[in-house]
Amino acid sequence: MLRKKSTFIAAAAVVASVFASPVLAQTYPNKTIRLLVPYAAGGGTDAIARVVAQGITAQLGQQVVVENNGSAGGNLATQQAAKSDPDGYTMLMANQGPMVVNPHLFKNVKIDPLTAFDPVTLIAEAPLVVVVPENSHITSVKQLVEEAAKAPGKMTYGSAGNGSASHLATLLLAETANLDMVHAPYKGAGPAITDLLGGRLDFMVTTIPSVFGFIDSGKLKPLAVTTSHRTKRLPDLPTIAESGWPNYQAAAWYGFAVPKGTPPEIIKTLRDATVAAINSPEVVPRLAIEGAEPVGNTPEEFAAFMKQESARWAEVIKKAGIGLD
Amino acid sequence: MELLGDLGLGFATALSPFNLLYCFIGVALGTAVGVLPGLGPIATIAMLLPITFGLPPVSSLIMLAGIYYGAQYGGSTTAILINLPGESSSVVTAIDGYQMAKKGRAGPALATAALGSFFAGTVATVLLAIAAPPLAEVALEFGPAEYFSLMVLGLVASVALASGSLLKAFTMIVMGLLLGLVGSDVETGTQRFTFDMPEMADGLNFVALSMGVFGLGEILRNLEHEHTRSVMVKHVSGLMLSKADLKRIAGPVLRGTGLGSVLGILPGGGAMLASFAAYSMEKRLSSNRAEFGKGAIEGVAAPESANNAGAQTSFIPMLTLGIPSNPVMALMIGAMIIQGITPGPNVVTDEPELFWGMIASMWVGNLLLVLLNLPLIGLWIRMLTIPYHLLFPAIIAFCCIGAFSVNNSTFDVFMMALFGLVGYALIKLDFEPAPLLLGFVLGPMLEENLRRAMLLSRGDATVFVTQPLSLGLLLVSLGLLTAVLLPNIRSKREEAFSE
Repeated sequence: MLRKKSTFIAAAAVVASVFASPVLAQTYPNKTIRLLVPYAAGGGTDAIARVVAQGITAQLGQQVVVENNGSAGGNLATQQAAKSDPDGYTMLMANQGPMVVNPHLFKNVKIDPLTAFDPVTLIAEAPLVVVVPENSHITSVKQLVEEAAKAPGKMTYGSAGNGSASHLATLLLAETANLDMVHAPYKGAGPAITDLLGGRLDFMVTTIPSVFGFIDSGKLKPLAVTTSHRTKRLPDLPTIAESGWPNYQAAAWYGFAVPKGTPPEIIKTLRDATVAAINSPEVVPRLAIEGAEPVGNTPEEFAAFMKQESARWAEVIKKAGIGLD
Repeated sequence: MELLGDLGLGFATALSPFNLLYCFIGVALGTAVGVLPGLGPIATIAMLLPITFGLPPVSSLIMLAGIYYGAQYGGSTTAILINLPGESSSVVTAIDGYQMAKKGRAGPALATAALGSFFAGTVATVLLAIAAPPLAEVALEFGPAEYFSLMVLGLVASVALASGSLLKAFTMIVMGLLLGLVGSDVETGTQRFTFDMPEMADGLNFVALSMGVFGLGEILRNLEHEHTRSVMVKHVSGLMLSKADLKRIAGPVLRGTGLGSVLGILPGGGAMLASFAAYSMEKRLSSNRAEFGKGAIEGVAAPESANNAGAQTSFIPMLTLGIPSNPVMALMIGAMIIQGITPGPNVVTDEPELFWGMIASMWVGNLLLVLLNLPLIGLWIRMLTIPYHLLFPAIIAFCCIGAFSVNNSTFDVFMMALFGLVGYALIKLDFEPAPLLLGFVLGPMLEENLRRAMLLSRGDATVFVTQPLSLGLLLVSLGLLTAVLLPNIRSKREEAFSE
């Protein structure tokens, strides 16, 4: 009896193992996929994550569930994703901060995001915008730089926090144009924008959705966008590159990555579904609201892009001496 | 005339069957989470955020707003009936509300809370409609120096209004300030007291701390005595207020509404600060001062009006400037962005249906809440009469979900458990946990704004007294501090607090 039972179990195990791998790969995905977002619910990244997750759900016929964890600059979510099974059921929203900035900024990042993950695709890039209060006499980036150069240490800029995209983009401008300005970090863009509106800050570089309403109502004056090309959301606005610093380029970007070792065919399925989703008529306009334009490159291109970004920001961070701890 | 047209559009939007349904769901849910201790509107709204994606923007925001002000009503029921604030802004309601219930006056206490809230809600709705844009300009005048002085006032006020020993209240505030220091320094990003744990890099979780100290601490205490917790009154009668009662609450309701409306608009304010401030003000102004702490109806009317007014007027900076004055508003902004609406001054003009629909829905929601909370009070009491051995595991489970859902972090759940023990110890040692929480919230803001003001003024400390708003706030704080420390007022204060 006992013998019979164990034979049965053994047989079942053999059958299961025979079926397991090929069938799983063919039927992927056959359960819910979770998307770890290293930012708090409600922010710009979260909005993009949810919109694209919905698009992928429609493509793959399996629910993509967003899990937010914005603690420790997103490092916790990144670590959690890196430790997950590389079976295609865990994805990470791979952004500038956690992927290429934090390792240079924090001492206690326990993983190297560039080697712990396999890139899937760069979803979208969004420009940041340079804004000044409505009553500021400054009308162009050129003038802003000239005034800052004339009086070192006099001009104050706000940012969404130490090491945020908004801070780094301004640092890059300061380094490119060799400026000495005072940085006032805030907890998020919101309170910094209040002080900018009240005229207590001279200027700020921030995401388009965070200030679009104020630009629209004339309470803030936009000077330029940070990307190498103009944005559709504010088509009349020049780029910083056009304004006299041709090498200047900074953007907030959003991508997907999966734990290292995920089978290539699964990565391909995810990439194809993502590319189809970000170009679908439901998703494109919602990305546009965030000021983001869809990219959808190959995993190799995304990997090369991240490597280049990592090297670039490492230098900016090192020069500015803003490394934490 | 234009205002009437706008409000007409608002009511047409709010009263459409679909939106009315979501308004009802919002306020009913809000009352439920308000009644249940431990689970607050922040955790609820955060948990419901994903559900709102599929809804039209107006309906989802109407529902989320309903949860917030609905919780202000529900919270008072628990505070009055079992001396356990269902919601943080009902902490002070428990002081006199529970005493009233003990004396068999639970009905009038509940009616006062509901009617006071309704009156305040109506006033705040009108205020929101008329004054939203101009009042938002006042908030814009608040720079770091003004914020700093406001926080000083907040801290001084919280010592002044704490009951019991001044020394103990002061100790609690300092402890709160110290706990608030944990996390990354905003200026430099340096980690403080985090023991190299990334879970603590953003500081201690507010939800975990408050649920632990208030919710779990209270539950632990209650578990000590098996039979002490009981709903004072199983069948509340006498919901109608007598003429004498109405006369007594008229002043406190008016003053509470006024103070709450102002504190709600100011960033960092909102329902909780409003209720504390209103209670302490009433205690100084009332002619029935001696009755405070022993079941004064004024002590229920003032904070309950204030917290509801504050909850609603905190929508003003959010809707007109896109600036969150408290965590709930931050969540609302998130909900709007997800829906493709950029919060800011353009909402009023670009999305009139949303703006006015939400305002109108608040009044409709307040009306629904009075109906929900008075005739149906029995239902909520039933919820509280669920035996301990069934209720506590449920509350603890809700608390755990709430603490977990903020960051999807189990660390926060353990943190909450730890603070539960801290809360229990504090209760046993006769320390009030409310000042601790205020210190915890105001401390980091105080530091951040102090350093930011100094940064912007390039190290010139006179900035706090050369700015008229800041100077005014500091003078008020000084006055309050002197008043508390003056020997004769101090003895009176102790008299007032001793039971």
